[in-house]
Amino acid sequence: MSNTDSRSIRIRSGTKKPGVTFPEWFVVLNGCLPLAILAYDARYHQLGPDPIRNSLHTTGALGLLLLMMTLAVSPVRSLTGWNGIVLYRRSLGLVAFLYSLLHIGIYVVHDQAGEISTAWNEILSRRYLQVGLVAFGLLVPLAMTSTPTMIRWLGFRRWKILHRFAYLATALAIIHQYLQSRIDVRIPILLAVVLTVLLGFRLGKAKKKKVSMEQKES
Amino acid sequence: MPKDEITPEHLFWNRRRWIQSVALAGSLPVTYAAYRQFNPVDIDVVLQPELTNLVDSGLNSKQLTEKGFAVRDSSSSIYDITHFNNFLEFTDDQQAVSAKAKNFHTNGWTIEVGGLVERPMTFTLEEIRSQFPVEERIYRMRCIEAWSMVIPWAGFPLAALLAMVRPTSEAKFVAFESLKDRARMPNQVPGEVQWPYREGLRLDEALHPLTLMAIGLYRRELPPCNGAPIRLVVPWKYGIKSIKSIVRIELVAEQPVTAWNQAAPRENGFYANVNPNVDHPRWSQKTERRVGEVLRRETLMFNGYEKQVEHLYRGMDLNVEY
Repeated sequence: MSNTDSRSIRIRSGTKKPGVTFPEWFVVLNGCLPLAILAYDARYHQLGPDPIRNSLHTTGALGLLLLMMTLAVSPVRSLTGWNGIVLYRRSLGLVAFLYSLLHIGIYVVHDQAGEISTAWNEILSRRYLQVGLVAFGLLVPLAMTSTPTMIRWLGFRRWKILHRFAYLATALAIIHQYLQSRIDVRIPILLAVVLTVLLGFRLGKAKKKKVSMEQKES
Repeated sequence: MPKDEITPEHLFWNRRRWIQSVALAGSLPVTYAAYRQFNPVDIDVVLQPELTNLVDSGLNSKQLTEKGFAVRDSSSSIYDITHFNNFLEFTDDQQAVSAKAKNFHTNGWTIEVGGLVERPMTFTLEEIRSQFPVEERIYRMRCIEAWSMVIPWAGFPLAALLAMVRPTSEAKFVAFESLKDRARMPNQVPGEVQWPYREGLRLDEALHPLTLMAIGLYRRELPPCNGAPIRLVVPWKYGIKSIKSIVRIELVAEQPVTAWNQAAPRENGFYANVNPNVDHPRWSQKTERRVGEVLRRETLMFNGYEKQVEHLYRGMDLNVEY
């Protein structure tokens, strides 16, 4: 009997003061699984004849997909009433950032053979690279201010405004993908439509909120 | 509610833990399967039947290099050649063409050669294979997307085919057409590239000894992903010119419409000669990545065939006629 009690206390305290929460485990493990498979395929020469191109496209696509999922959290919450979904957002954003970091890293280290000057010249002369770099640049402060300490330091209002840049970064990432597409632009077009819907939802909600606040005031 | 029906707190947390573990464990195979759907592993090499009628050109290796019929660089592997293809009729994903084109059949294939010729002819594959001396040509292949390979083709000069049909004096260009059959080429959907895929050469380019009608590679029949059963290979031009799965060749008086030129004229000129000095509007053509290598290579003028073909373009401004 005393045995069961001590276990239940341990579980309880573990649940109440968690190091890593279930949503975080869920997102990080599922989010990093593709990276593990990618690394495995690279190790065993299973990425096809052009492994660099394959890993560039894969990391880029995963980063963009996860960014879109990050932006979808809030609309899904309002539509379904599932408030717990917000606990998934920060990890989604951070894993998205991880993939975009890898994407750029693979570009510079492998595609451009680690020659910063060549990579920089390419960036200066290619519009799609410039757009992609700006998108990445916008994600850096967002990733850096993702901790509770940083939120407190910035103040929630300012933090929230800063994190709206996620929409701009995602839009630029889609433009980057569109510009480097060869002929089939169906995927970037589809992503652009989804982003427009997400953004429209966000703007609609902001407007409603404003109206209801004005009504309260009067 | 009676107090004893409330789940004891420690059991409640236990159950929650349990559900979470199941959800987590269940989600990982789903993620794995979804990822594999988009980035499958394809390491199979399907070997085609061997070509039986290959002839020896009788040239030594120095003469072969001199003429551009062979290059010193080692050939790309059969795996690389058959798993990295641009063949939009099947998919626009280069690494997926092999799997998507695997079951493409060429039964009853014929090639019609006509237009401004004295003797229009239609060939079956058997006739093609038996009437022309098939030799091995090891050519560089440079894609407009800045990657390259070295491919040991098997084929015969287009000039030999044209000699049979005898172009008339009005003939100035050669127009080529690929198969149009959406049931067999599922990605022939309406889009920027209009089907069938079309290509064209100036008559003097078509008659050049390097211009090859390929029916095989690595001494075997051409695999579907590389343009079975018969394709053009023009090694000093970007790969877009080397039209695959040809069903019709026509001698014409005017410059013919070509698929990529029609789709994006700024990006793809009619000539599409490999030229490191003329950039693609969206990327540099100065360097290329040889598939299978990490460091980029310098791109060579006319893909390294300058000595053999430069005379064809004398007096032309290659910045304008790219």
